[in-house]
Amino acid sequence: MQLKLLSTVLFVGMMILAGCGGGGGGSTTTPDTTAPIFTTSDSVLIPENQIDVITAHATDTSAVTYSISGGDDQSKFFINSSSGDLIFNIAPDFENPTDVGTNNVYEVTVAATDTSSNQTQQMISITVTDIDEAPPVFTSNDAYVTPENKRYISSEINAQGISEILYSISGGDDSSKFAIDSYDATLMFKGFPDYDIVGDFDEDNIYQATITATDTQTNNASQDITVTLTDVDESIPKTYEVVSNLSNGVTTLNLGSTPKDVYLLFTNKDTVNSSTPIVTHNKFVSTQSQKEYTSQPQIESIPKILHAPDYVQEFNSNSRNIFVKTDKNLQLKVLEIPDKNQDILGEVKSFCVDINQNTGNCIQSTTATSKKVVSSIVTNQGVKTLNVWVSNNSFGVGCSKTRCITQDMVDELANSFLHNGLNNDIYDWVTNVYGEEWTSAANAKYSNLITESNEITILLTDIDEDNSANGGVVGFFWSKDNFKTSSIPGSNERVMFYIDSVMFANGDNTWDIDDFWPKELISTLSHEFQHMIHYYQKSILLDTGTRTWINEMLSESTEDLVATKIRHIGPRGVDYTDGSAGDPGNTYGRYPLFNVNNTLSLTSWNNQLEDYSKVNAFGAYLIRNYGGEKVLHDIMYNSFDDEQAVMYAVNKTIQGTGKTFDDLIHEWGVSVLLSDHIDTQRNQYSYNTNDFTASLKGQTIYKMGSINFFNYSPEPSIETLMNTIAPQGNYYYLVGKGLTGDTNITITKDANVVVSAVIKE
Amino acid sequence: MKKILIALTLLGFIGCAQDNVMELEGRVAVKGSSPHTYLSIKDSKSQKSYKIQNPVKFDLMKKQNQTVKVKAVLIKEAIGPGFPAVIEVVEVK
Repeated sequence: MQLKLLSTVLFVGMMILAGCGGGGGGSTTTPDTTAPIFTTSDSVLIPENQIDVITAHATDTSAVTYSISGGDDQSKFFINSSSGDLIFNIAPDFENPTDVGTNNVYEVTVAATDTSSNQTQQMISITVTDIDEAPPVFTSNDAYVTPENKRYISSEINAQGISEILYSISGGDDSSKFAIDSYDATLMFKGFPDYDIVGDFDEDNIYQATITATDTQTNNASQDITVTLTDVDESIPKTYEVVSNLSNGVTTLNLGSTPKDVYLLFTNKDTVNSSTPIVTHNKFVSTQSQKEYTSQPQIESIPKILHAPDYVQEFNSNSRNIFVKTDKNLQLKVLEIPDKNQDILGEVKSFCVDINQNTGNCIQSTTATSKKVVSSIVTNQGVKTLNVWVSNNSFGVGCSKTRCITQDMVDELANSFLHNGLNNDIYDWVTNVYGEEWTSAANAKYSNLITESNEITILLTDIDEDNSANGGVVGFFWSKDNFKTSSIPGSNERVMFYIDSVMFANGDNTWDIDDFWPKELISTLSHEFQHMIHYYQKSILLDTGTRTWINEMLSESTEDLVATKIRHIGPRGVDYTDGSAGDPGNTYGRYPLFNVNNTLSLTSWNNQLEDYSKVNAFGAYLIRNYGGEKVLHDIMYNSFDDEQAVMYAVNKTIQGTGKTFDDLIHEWGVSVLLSDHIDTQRNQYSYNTNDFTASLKGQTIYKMGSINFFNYSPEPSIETLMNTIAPQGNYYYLVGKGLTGDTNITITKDANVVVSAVIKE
Repeated sequence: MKKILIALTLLGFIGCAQDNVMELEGRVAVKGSSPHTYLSIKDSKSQKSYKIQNPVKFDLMKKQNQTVKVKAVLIKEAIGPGFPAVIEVVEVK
């Protein structure tokens, strides 16, 4: 009986055990014995003064937890058991290492354990690196003196440090009166200080502020400064006089006994040539002989390059509509343009650089390589990317061109246009004035425009394939590239501009970004960038196609505004550190050519170099007399396509209220004649203050240097014989030099011609 | 017969062209940013701008900023900003 019971128990036990093997197949569970595998680096460099080290990571089939399991310096660390984030308990100080070896190398062992308690350990060596902790050092004076009624104070504030420095006003009794450019430390008053209406805290005409210089490691230093305001004797007679609106008939000018030079400035308000005015005047009373000036057509200055390839001009002048969609014979060339945000360094692709004017098909292309991608740059317009491409035939030592692009040149170009930090590159300075270059609003409004990409492309290529290092076209923006290829087959479907590779590579001896032509091309970037923004903000968003003379004037004035920031002589042709009008005999910049062509119609455009010079001169007058960069901004931001756009902006200013366009052209002409005088800043004739004029927008101060047209060679064309006057143009006439006593002038002119006498000591 | 067919075809083309003839009056101006400039006329009635395809024929470049009256044939419709409708001027009044 007992044996039978035992057998039964054994049998049942065996059955139970068999059942425990798991169902039908009879298989067993394999225990996990595989430990996690670390993918974390075993050594890392981190700068001092921060606690974040590294995120430990180990792979495993199950969840992993992390812990600190050893190491000489384990007590210095903490690790998040689930995320693996390893941090210092206290931020390390390079100058005071607390590791066991006191050599700034900390060792810790990290363990990774899976759910089956399999564990792996890894020792991590953390080397702490030194960072600059030395604060900037001010090297500039702390006391400045400036005359009243002037906003610009000084460009001399300077602090030295290892990294880029930003400047700010951080305190002082009169801090609210000042503004400082965060990039170049230009200092200015926000308003026009009046010596007689004391505006400082202590009421002693000594203004006080604290300037702080901060480097990229947030080390900072401060300097207390004073600015003493000096009185200007406004009772001193001006050294000039303007007798406005001379009518037909006789005008007697009482010149007194001091010899004076007398000019007549004629302005034609009409849109057609005037008839030739008749001017007669009595002989001078002074014993000095009357000098005559004649036009000097010989320009010896370096010609400013026209941004106008012939084939693009042809595109516009010749054109049938290029968007033929119904022509069945049309052979469309669809370029394979990659999607945006996919530029890869070293990538090669074809860019279309010329199109058939009738069909929009690409007729010339260039093979280029991506040489620079500057991504994730924070700007005031959002995060941006810059792509720089270079035509293959233009790149590398021994390329087939007269001058070849190198990677250093590409880097400098990119850095000038866009790099880390705010208010410190062309992108920042130009968008600060005009706004953003492209957004999704474009495509939302016109579905055949490209979508937003927050990327700008610069193509360095030999424009026109002229292989010229002596001149030619230096750059352009072409809005064809803003369209989809379904509308314009030759579009590159990018927000882009073209820069001439040969001219950019044209350095003085060994290439340097500060050489003349490279810097001129950097200035061109700002010029073309205005066109790019103008196209978006005005043509698209405001549905307004601006007249060319205005669009070009804005671009020329943009170059004027940023000249001191890019450290270039600019259109003025004067050293960027010199706020005065420079020295006589200047052959640089736009104004030698303007002087020879100063009677052209302001509002006509013929794609000639002199057209650029005349609108530059006019724009220079506007920004120096009607509010700096703001007047340029306001000219863009309205729905007028003609001179009303200019008057909209000018009339918004106090000094421009109620003026007409004719008034403005006439004033401009008077200002040209008075540009050799520096006491004109009390009125609207001010080209020349013998110093910088400043305007403030946000954190950026724009400095505009003085201009004296008589400092250029050739000097202004001033006639002694009358002629017809160009539509909306000026004519400069010399009555005589060194005149005294009474001068009678008899004038017969059209009703649409305005004439003023300008009398100068 | 052949001559009649040719004549009829020509008449047909002329007829088609006549259908596209517009009378415009407005200021002439160069627009766009160099080098993408073009001579345009902005019709004062419709406020619509047109690119003039043949500025040389009637010396229209010299009439910049002036108000002119023209008869023109519409060549192509506008495509988008900076690319207005294109006309061929056939008569300047």
